[in-house]
Amino acid sequence: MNQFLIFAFTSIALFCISLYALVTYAHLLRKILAINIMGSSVFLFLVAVAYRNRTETPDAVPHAMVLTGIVVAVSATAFALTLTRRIHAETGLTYLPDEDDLE
Amino acid sequence: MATESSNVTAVRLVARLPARLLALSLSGLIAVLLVLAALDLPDDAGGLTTQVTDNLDQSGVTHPVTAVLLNFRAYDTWLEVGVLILALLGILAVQQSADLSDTGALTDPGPVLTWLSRLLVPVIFLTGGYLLWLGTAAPGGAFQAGAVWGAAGVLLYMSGYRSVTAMGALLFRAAVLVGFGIFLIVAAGPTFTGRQMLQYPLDLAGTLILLVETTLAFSVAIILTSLFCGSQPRRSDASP
Repeated sequence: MNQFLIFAFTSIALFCISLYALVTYAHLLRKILAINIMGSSVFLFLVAVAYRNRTETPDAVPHAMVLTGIVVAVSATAFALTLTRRIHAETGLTYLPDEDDLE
Repeated sequence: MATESSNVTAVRLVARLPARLLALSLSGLIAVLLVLAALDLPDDAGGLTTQVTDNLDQSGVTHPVTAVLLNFRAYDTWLEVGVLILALLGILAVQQSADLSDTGALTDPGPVLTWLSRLLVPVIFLTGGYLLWLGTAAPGGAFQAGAVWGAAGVLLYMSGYRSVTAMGALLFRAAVLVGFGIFLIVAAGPTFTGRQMLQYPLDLAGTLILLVETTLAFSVAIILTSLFCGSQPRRSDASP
């Protein structure tokens, strides 16, 4: 079990836990948090892949992908939070009502 | 099942048990498949490290990540700014306004926050400018500087000062679009002289990258501050 595999398994575990949370919970903030953690786990995997073979310099291309991904994740989160605020302002709810599936 | 807490029946906002079990099993299946894929990666692959190091002296900068971001994969960076603008457009559409001049201020920030922001914002501007300049040789560059400057904008807003909320619609649009626009000109320019898109002329590569980085950092800062301020409730929404 080398260093890369530890990071890879951690990122996979984070990804699947937050995927479960995204599907299961109805509160919109929890969904947004779950998507953020899924994104962060993918970034962790990319950074782990970049240094996989302990060459002198890490691979620069996954680093650039992670930088791009962080900015996109931040902007998508901002938009999702604005939508959540608007939904709350208009309807007073913090979840999308779909009464058949919720308990 | 609704969990009761004290006298209030609180709905737990979670899916029913069969749906939870199905989601659990599917996530577990995805986890197993991903673990098998991670174990299956080839052992001695250095990725694109050799290609990047071999072409680094032709890229105009000396740091490999900046070279990848703004030369080899400049298309990704360019469209990433497009995604930022798209998110801002979404926020403006939700708020149903063309600029952010209608944003309400936060509640009274207090003397400590205003004093601290007056102390910190000039330092933040210097730090962002230094990061922007440093990008050619060390970790830094356009998005790092833009993020630091955006933090300055958010700090100003939290302290009650107006930054992006003071811009009229025309100036706001110009500030948001200047980064993308300059990048568009730099990207499409080579096609008029017989080259491919984004194929910088070799002797001008460093200068073009610095120009693009500066306007990009400025635009990204404005956009990031607006992403924050745009989600705040507007003054015209407040109850009288």
